[in-house]
Amino acid sequence: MLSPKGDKYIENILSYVKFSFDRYAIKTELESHLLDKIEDYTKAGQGEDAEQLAITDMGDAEEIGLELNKQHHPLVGWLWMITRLAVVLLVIVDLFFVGLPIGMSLFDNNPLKDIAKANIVYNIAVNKTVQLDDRVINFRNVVYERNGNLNIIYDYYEARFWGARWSLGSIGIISDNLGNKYFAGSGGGGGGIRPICRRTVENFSNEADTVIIDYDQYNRKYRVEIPLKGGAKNE
Amino acid sequence: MKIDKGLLGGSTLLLLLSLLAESDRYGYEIIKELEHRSDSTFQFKEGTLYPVLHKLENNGYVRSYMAKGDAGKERKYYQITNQGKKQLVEEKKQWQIYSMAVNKVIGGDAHAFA
Repeated sequence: MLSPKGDKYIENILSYVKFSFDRYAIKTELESHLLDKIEDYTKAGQGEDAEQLAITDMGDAEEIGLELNKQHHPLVGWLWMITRLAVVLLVIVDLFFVGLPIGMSLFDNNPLKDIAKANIVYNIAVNKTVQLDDRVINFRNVVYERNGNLNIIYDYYEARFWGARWSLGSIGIISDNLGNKYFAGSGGGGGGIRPICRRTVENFSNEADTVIIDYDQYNRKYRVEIPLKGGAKNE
Repeated sequence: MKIDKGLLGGSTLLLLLSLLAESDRYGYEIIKELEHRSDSTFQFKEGTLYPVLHKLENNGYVRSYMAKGDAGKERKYYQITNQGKKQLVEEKKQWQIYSMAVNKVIGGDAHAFA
């Protein structure tokens, strides 16, 4: 530790530095310099005079303070602080608008939760994956409701993270093994890097035992058949 | 002979960047090294080194970081940047031209500088 004399000397230098946010760092640096020098003088046998000698070697407080103030100009200092603040804010905004949706799509956004449990006749876990160009579609669940709605829950992601995205429209035409095609219905999905979506068709036959998803657009095709617990087992 | 003008006369940048190009150093270490190598030719008020170091940092020639040295004391170390290294090459070139010119004028051998 410095004596009050050493402290006063450093305070004197700092008094010329107008940008107060830099004062602490300067203080630490100058203090450790003085302490090193005092230690060297002490080792050399200058017990009592060590601190005064070290201060004398350091130089005139005003001269040093004024020079330091030039390098820690308030305007530059404030610009620097504001720039850093802006970067922090940008990161926060970025996390909020990009990170949060990704997080939500990973944890919260399963549309399966939107279907009231009481209405579910059956819920089949499916694990079928198809790929269209770089888009991988994974069929997860098929949920049949009392009112005849058949919900197909799927997620998709891009196998190639960068580059142009091809919008492939819907997942395809929904039909069943009895030859019925279903157009009426709705769809929806989440955002993020791997959104989970729901495609619902209405009045799905309760006698069908397979749902068929046929995709045939833009010269790209797939066909997925998912066995159901159809027929009499519905009750 | 002792030189005391500015910090180290016109060669401040050359000397400081040279020392920092060897290794990262803190202020007092730089001073001791300068004193040692120059047989105390360069004498200056030690406190005036810090505004110069901070200026180098502002100019982007060096960056600083806090670290504990061998004695376990935390100190502010200075490290040369790529920009600083480029500047050092430039400073060395200029120093050679300058010292060669001085040598020619004073009638010495043009190749006399070490």
